[in-house]
Amino acid sequence: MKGCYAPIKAKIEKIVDETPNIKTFFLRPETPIRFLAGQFIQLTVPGVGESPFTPSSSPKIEETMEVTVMRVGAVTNVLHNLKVGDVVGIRGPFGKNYPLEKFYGKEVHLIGGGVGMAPLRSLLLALISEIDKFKKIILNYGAKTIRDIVYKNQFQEWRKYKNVEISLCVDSVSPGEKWDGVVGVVTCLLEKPLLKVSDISNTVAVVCGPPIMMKFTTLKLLNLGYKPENIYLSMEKNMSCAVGKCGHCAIGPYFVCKDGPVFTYNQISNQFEIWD
Amino acid sequence: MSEIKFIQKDNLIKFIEVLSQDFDIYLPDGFQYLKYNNSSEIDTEILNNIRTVVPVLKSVLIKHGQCLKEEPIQNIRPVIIFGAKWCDIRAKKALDGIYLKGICPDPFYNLNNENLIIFSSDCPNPKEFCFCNLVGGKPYLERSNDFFDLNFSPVENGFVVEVGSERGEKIINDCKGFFREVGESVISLREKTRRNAVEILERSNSRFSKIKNTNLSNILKERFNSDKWKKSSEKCVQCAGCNNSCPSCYCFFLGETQDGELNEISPKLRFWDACHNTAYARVAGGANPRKHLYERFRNRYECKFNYRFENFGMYACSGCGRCITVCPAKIDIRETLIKVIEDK
Repeated sequence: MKGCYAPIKAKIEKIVDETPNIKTFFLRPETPIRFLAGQFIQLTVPGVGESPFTPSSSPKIEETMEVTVMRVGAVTNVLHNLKVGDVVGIRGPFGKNYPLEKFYGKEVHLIGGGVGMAPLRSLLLALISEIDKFKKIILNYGAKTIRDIVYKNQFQEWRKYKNVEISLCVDSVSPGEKWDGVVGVVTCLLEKPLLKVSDISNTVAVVCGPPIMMKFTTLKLLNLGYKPENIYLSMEKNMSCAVGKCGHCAIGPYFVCKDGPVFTYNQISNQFEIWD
Repeated sequence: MSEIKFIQKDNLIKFIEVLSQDFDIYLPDGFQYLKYNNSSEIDTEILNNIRTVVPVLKSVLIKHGQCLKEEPIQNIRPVIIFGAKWCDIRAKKALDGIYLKGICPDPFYNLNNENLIIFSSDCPNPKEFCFCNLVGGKPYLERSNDFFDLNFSPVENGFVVEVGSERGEKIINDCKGFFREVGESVISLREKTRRNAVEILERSNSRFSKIKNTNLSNILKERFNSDKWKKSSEKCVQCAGCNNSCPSCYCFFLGETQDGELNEISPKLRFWDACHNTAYARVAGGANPRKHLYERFRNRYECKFNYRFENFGMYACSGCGRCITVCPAKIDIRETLIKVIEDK
């Protein structure tokens, strides 16, 4: 990978405010970037630094890329202040994608928490693009509050597909707020009778969210009878080089950037330090 | 030609001068490696010393703050690293696993094996902190186990020179006049010095000999939750000196040039990082897999003796002892290992 450390320029074409601290940036790279759902890119904010993100847009679109970013650190703070027309850098794509062909003929159960919905949106769009290949697509998504839900107006679009079942939950609702979904953490949606999966033995689960959500969701899925090899996790670790050299993202003998970020629970269940 | 030659001290200096016309030569000055130029003074006695303080990796192969800007590769002159010991050569092998293998070679670890020539040397006077013998090494290199182009063994008035590669043989052929045939008695002198060095190491490491016969990878998997990690790290002040002085510690981070223009993408800079640093594995959201010092302390051992062993079938520790000499808390990697091995 010659030039693996050299970002290519990308122009910000549009910015959507998803929540008070999450924005989606529509980027147009100088040369189109082909990626697969689940792979990630390194996004450079000039003069500040780089952070890894999994694109949230459909992998079928190469000319533009959407990246949904929560404002949490040095890079994302500055990124959130950038304007349409500003330039960022993109390296990648890197890492292992969700193996869609292994999902054929199965129920695909997506479980997302907070901004962890971003990679799942990309995956969902990829699944929808060949929707007949899957028995059913179930999306469970949880956010802290109603205001923290990303892609607010898109769920109703996705619900139009007859194979797609979506349920949402929020951790809490303030007095006066209108909410007809479940109130509770996302694992509440995995309790019967809310669980919309028909045959767990023929289902793959894909989990993405903050560490604590990933941990308890995985434990719940195992409890429900999901096989460890059918639970796909998008691991979040500190990353710098993205090509398996710099060491930061190591989980035991694995480097999340090159061996992941998508792992089955089976692959990493024997390793320590996976949930923090 | 035979595989073993002899070169006199004076001729070695002339040999280096001649080679410097075609190669960039890096010589140890006791502290670090410096690039030879015409005004450099060559002290051949230095080959009797142990490895340099700054490892080959950190003084020649990758520089702190290196700018990762594409450069035409054909302009790079071949490099000779002169006088490197077993520990540094072995460490480079571990680094090659990271930097040259995997999904792609690192384009800026550009002194790859094609244009990097190794003139290794014996280590006749190992110190009390040296422990290559505990991690599969010896205080000298052998053609059957180790890669070198030429190896230099100090004997009276000069050096026994062993050829380790075709490239090394060609270099000797091109400079025939400096070398002469070597007699049995000189070779046996080399063997005697080598035996002596091995004995020094065996003596100074006798109380750590258990390390040698232990599969550290298995032990460190088993003893991940041993409370010896907490105890052994009690005195650690987290200076990361062990990381920074280590010839096999490879971790770095990419930084930005601060004078970059808005809307301009400048090349990345590479800086050394250390897994002992608190924020090493912390993500922006605040999660940190190794929040406590003892977890980061343990990680260094797990990385070297377990994780990298799983990756490459070799430890990412070559027993150079730099981490022992540099530690302000006098933490000895051998003592920690013994405590963990003996923790039932």
